[in-house]
Amino acid sequence: MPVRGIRRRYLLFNVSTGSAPEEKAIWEALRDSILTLYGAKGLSLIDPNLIEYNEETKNGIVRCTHDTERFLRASLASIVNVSGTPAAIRVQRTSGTIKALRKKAGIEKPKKETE
Amino acid sequence: MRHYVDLHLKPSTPEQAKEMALLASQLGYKHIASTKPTADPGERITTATRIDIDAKRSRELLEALKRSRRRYDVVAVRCLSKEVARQAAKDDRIDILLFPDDPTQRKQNWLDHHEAGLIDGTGRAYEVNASDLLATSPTRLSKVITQIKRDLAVASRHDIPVVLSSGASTPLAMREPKALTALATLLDIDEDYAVEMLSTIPEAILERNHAKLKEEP
Repeated sequence: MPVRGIRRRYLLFNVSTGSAPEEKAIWEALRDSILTLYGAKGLSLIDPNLIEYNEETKNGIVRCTHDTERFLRASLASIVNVSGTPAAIRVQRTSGTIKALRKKAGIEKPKKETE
Repeated sequence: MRHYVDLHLKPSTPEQAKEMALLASQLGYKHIASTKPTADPGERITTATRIDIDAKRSRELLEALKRSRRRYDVVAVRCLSKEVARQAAKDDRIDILLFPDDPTQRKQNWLDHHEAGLIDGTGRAYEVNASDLLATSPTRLSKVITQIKRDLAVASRHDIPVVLSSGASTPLAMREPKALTALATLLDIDEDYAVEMLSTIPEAILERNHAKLKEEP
């Protein structure tokens, strides 16, 4: 029996902050925000995955399940500090595929994936 | 085409007001209302002036209204007591009622059925500030959500329009329109209505007041 894969949404975000947070700090802030707003069950439903984060441009791509995009947006919006530094995370674009998102935003595929 | 409106920006300086107006334009807002005068931020966004009146006694409120109604596009009252909430509910010079952001103060002051009955059909709006939902401890956040949801239930029963604003006092507290409507999910607000709370409802308030201010000598 053919099994259809889980539909996803990909969100391109930008971090506004005075410091240069690491990828791990962004992930921890996002995970904690989801846990605060929606709990462990919400975290499981949203199934977030920080696909990539560029520390120079402060842009990143995060993935969630298709029907939980609003919850992920709310969780990103409610982050006000990353590693103790005031910050804001704003979504710039969304797409159903990572390829289309990169194309729309003019982002190149990270080198390690192409090698 | 839908125009997004952020009716509540609270910058502390005129320079910050300009910075926030530019950011609002980049985030996709068409109109903003700010408590500090804003130098012309450009063609893509229009700015309105707003005053937040904090009053504990109705007499203080009436005096403040006398001084400020004609000077501002939007007049909002933060109801710090029941007395003020009742007065604000029946005064036609007021556009928006808001309640204290501190859950302890809000325990004493909320939108009750009596006030809602006075507001019903007048076009005055109840305001939800997204800043109240940001970055608080889970305990505080749960209290705030419960209190706002209680007010929203009363507002809905009396068909009172609800406005969703950022309530941002710094650029870092500003969010894009879709983020604000997503935050409204915390209050169990339907997605379509959340979009109206951020577009058609505040836009109607601005249009009504601009028309009124033009008519007055």
